[in-house]
Amino acid sequence: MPEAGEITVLLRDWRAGDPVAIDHLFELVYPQLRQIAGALFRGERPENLLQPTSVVNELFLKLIRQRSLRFEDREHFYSLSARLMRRVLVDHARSESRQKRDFGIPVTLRADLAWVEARPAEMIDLDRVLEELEQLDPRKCRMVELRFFLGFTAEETAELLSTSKATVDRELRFVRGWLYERLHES
Amino acid sequence: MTQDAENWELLQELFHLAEVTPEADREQALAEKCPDENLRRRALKIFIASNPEEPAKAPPAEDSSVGSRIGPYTLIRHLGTGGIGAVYLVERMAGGAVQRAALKVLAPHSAGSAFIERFHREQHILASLDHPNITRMLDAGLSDRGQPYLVMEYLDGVHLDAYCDTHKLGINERLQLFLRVCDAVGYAHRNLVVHRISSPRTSWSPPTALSSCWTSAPPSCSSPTAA
Repeated sequence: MPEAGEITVLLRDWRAGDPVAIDHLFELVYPQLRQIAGALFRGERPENLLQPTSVVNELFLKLIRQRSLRFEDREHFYSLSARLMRRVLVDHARSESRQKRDFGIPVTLRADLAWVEARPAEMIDLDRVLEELEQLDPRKCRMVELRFFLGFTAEETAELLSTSKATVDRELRFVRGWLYERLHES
Repeated sequence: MTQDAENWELLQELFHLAEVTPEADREQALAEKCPDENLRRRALKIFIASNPEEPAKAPPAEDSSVGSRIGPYTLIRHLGTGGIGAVYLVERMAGGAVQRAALKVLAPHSAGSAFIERFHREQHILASLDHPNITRMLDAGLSDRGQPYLVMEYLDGVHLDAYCDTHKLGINERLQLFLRVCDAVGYAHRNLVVHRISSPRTSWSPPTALSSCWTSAPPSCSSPTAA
């Protein structure tokens, strides 16, 4: 188990650009996110499953109780979890496309957790385009990850990023168009 | 992409300007804001991509088009305007009998390669589906003015929720109807088609048969050919 304050420190390091920090955090959150993603990929009924948000919420509270995380770090913590969820999905997509089981529907980015039915090749494309977005506008990339990968509502996303729902909606409208555009022109 | 990096902020401003400007004034408003035509075009493309379901403004000349012809079809009545075009009740003479159908024509102002591609995809998807509860495609073609159109079965029904309410259906009867919609949706899913805006408003209950009216096939529809 992580020591008191350890996650806080790791998150700070991650935000400060330390690539090693993310690996530590990764080990902590990844297995739990993978479990949800795995169940979804096996086609289990989504309504019977824990949502990624509730798993991450539970983990967050646990870490707070253990004092390995401070409440002020919640935005970092959730942003990181969303990034990790993206990684889980992309890893899955890569292994799927290696197995040449590439069927499904294109990424839509419309409903919450729209990626559930994404086709592996499209997931990988989306990941690549999000990488570009990260370079252009890290905040918008985080917004996409929180909203579409972790499944937060626009209100929750706004609260985490200390902004208004209207801003999140507005920025995501642009981002969605931009992502579609980038996906289709490449 | 580097061009976006240089103009990232301006691109967003243009995008949001496009959002709040009525379509007729859009090009003009953007041109006043930004002299760079390429950038304006890019902002508009992003804007269009962000709104797959944006209802196109009804073409101004729509009423005058009633009575005119598209291909072998005579336009009888304007039924509605969807994401990328207008839908008309049409008639044609078939072997001495009058055949009625719904004709969807791409709005002239929507003509752009992305729209045309989507329209063709919709045609393709509709043609590939054969289910008693999904409206059948009857015909497709190009008008004299080069506008793509497609012709579907015409359902003289009401929205499903209105149907349930006016007939005061109980929970069992509503669920029976719902199962039939599920059957159609399930069939489409098995054919790798997802109707992203299924709702009581896109499902119709004509007097005799329940049909799900697939009026729009946005980009989430894919054919199984993409491997």
